Amino acid sequence: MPGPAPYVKVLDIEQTLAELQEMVDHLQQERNDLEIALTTAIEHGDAIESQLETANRQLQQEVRERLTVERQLRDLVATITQKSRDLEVVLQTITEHADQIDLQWLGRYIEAENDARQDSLTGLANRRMLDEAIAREWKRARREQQPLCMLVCDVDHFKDYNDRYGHPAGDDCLRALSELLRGVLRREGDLAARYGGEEFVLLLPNTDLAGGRLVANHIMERLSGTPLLHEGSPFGVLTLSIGVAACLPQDDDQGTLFAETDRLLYLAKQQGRNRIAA
Amino acid sequence: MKSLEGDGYKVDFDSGDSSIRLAGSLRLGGLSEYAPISQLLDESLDGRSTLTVDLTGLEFLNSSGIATLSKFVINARNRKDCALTIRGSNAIPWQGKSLNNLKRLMPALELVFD
Repeated sequence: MPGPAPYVKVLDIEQTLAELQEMVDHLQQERNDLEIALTTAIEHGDAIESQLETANRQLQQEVRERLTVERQLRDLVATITQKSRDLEVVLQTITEHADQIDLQWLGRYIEAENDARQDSLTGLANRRMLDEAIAREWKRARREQQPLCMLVCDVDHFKDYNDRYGHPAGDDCLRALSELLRGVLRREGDLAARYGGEEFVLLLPNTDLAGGRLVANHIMERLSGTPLLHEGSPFGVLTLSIGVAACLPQDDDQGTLFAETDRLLYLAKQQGRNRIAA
Repeated sequence: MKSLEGDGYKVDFDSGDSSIRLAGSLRLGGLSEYAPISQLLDESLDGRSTLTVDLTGLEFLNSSGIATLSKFVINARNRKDCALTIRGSNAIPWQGKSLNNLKRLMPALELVFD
């Protein structure tokens, strides 16, 4: 069988060539596209990398700044904590100091109050404290209808004693008598006071005249039991004259009890001293 | 010797002896009136490695005074360059508790009671 004619063969080859050329063009186009895509991808990668690098640098800077701020804040907190602790201690120091000073003042106040109510020579109650006690006990005795008793004791010939033995000896004598008077009082409410000079007052709540006379006798016994030499006295020793009075208070006139006791003391003096007048 | 003197009190700073002595009765009104004493106390710390504050003759100190003393102790502690000693007296009632409290502000503070 005869093959195709040569003319046909040439056409086939041309067509094949055209198809190949088309394929080459297509491949060329694809290669170019791929090259562009690759370049784009590489450039894009570079851009991303650069952007990431910048972001990373910024983040690192931020971290450094934050760490610095954190350190500063920590220092600030430590300083504030220390200052707060200091303030607490200072506050406590000032408060406790103020309390101590209050106590110191209170002690001095009590001391001053005692001084104001105490006779500095004998340590007995002074006139001020006696007046307060009389006012208080008078009211109580009136309210409870209990007797109130008073003794007024005066040292006989005391001016002669001072002149003969000197004032320091006179002071010693008054101190010894104060001890004696303090010693005869046994109940809590009883009060011994130095009224002035060589005159002493004993105030005995809830005590009638008989009770007061007993206390006066007790004083006389004690005094004669421990005699103090007094060459200027007709008795040769130191003696006391004592007025004793008691009453059931009926009114506000608290001065009547002292007036009566003082009158009796005067009577004891008039009758020759060294005695009790009740 | 540098001194401050007022009604009932005296403050003597002896730089040769490294000591500052407060004596008498300090009852100034408020921190502003204590400022000269506070300044002298702080000056006494300058360039000194040891300092003795003698309070054995300070009979009375009011609340503003103890506040001034507290601030001085805090200042000495913060400077860290001066060993501080405070001498007090057992015969003065306020000193027992108040001076011991100052030690809480400055644990390195040396307290000596006569």
